[in-house]
Amino acid sequence: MLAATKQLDTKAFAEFVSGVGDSVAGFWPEIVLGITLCAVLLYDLVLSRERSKNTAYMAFGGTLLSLALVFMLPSEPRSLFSGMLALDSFSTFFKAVILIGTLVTVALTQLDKENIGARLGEYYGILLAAVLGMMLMASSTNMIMIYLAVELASLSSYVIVAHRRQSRIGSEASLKYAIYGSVASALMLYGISLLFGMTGSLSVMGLADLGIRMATDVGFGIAVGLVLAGLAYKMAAFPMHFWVPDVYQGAPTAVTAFLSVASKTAAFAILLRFMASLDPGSATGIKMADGGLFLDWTSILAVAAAVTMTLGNLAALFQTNIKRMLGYSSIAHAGYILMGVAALEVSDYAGFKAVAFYLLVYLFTNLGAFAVVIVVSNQVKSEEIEAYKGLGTRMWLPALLLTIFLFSLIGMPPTAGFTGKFLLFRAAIDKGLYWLAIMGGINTAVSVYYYMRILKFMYLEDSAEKTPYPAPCLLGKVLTVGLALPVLLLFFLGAAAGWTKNLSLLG
Amino acid sequence: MSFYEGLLFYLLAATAVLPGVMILFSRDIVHAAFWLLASLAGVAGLYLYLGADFLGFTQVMIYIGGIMILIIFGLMVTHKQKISLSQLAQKRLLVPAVITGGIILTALLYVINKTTWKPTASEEMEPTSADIGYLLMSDYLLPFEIASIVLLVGLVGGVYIARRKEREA
Amino acid sequence: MDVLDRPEGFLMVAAVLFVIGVVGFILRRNLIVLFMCVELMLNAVNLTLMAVARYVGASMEGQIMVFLVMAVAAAETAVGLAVVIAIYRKRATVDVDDMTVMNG
Repeated sequence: MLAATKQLDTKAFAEFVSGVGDSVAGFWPEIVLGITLCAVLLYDLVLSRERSKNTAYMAFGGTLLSLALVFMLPSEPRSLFSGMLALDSFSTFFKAVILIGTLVTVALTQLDKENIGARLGEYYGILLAAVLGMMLMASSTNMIMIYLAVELASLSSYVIVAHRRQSRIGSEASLKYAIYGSVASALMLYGISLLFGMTGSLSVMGLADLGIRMATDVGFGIAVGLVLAGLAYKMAAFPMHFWVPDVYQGAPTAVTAFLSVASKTAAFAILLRFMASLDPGSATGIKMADGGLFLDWTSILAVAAAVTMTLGNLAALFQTNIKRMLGYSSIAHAGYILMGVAALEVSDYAGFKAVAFYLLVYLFTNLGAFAVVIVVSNQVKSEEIEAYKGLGTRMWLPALLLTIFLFSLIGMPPTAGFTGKFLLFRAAIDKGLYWLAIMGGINTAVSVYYYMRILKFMYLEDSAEKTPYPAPCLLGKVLTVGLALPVLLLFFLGAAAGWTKNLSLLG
Repeated sequence: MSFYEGLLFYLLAATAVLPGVMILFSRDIVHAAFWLLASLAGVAGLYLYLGADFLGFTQVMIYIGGIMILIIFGLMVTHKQKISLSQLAQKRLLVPAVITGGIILTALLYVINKTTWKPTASEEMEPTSADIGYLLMSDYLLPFEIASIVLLVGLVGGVYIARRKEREA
Repeated sequence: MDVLDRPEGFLMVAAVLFVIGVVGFILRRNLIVLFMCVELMLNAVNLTLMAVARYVGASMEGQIMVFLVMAVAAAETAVGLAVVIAIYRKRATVDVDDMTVMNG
């Protein structure tokens, strides 16, 4: 670490330059992404004479290269750029999840008929900037870096949500997202600055000692709470979940799909890293007055989880628009995943693995569901649930695949959703959070109703028209089937949960 | 600490806070924008008072020179002459707003006064720009670069959203 | 009273500014004024950051952080105002109460 000096010390500078070289070796995926985003923007601005798909290919290729580089990252955990980022298997896993989500998002954008004939250069450039922000979120260990990564992801998301410029609801969704989002980030920054004053350090790892020393300090609790509130906004968790339905409905479907998986994954990655450094297992929390009520972080997160899933599920019952319904379902799932975070125990990482595995499952499931929504709305020109009447006979393949995805969202075997939920519930029960597991069970039962309602519309109700729709295009078939396969396969592989077994945090 | 230095602090604090209050009550939106400008200038003064010379001038350049111009531009584009008082504030939200504000203020003041801030030796006040430049190019290299991407997104995104029509190929 | 040796004075000024921002955000109906209130909140946070940074002896880090936050705030305002203008073009209104196309 360099100290600020009055005069440039050449020796220290040479050491620093070699340090940057070392850091860059673990930073290639992000660098490739950054270069691609500039290339896409420049290509669209300078070279593109007609509405071509080249920008989509460039974005896809760059993301694919970045994903390949993520798998080639050195496995030894270390710190990059003077403690700004961590290179560990934890961040590598989440980066891979985010990049896979991005590949699908690019394909979904091309699939959506609304985008035919539109020039998408800026859209793809800004989408890649959002991905870059989310990848940095997954690996930040310094609070200024966390703030910048969250802001990069948020700002880019506001822009791509407004992508359907001709539509009224698109810009209204973007406005709501942006205006509440800036308040959420101000809250988070307030928390960060209070923590800075208490620790004198911006490193997340520095919280570990402080967490125990100030275990019962109300001020510390409020500061951490403010940071968590900012993160809850990105996770779509209570009490910062209210933006979700409007934004999910108003955004282009591909963007909704992207936000529902990538944004959530990145936010949970930060939350896990942050909470792990607080070590919630060691009875830290907020003490209200002396000898009075003691709230530990486990209970606070557990209550947030229970409220989040209940609110999401209850509101989802009454929805008529499928994107809005999936938005509330996404809130409910944030609640289920928080259950795993509440069960976080630094010593054995049980809740940790359950969360990581569930996020992977949710990635394929939710992207698949939205892929079907796009395939259907390409033909039916509607996103209302009513429009799914009689779809079982008129579009048999998408209807069948949607059934698989909805089963996985409910958590029914033989889909990966079952395995993922099983791991989350087991983590909660192992931790002794029986009431939370019961709440989760009740909520799952409630959610069956609104997922099944779609199935009822598709298979049991007839529409006036009986003629089958034309089969979806090749891209649509490949995407939906390709996303359904992991949802089924992970059910069997999930018991082993091989991928998430060896996750470890730096520090 | 002389009496005058203390007085200066209270003057600067008043410059930051009182115009802020005026934003809540001013009837003309353009006036509100100018009250905000005064408040931001007060904060810039507080930065200078804290010995953050670089920040004080950055505040003037970015906020007063940049962001405020942007806001006033936005006001001029969307400003309509006839604005009744009922259009300025949501009266029905007055009580919830005051209660929310009261709770937050109490909580923050409690935190501020109860917390033992990590103490350290006080620093000398000297020009800081050179050291900041050095740090930005060394330890804070990555945040600096990421901030540049954030600005790129702001630039491209702003034009992209506000553009009137779909660009013809 | 020795203002500079303790951060409390600055922190209290910042807290009051923040609360003014929050109250304005809830009360005012013009979208652009809402963005102004957000700027006020961010300024309060920046002041907090700088005051504690000086107090913990990390004045440089504090200044760098606030500098970066200002850059981000500028980008955020640019995007936010662009959205407001896009909405104004379509509906000729910047009133919070009109932002209700979606409900449910």
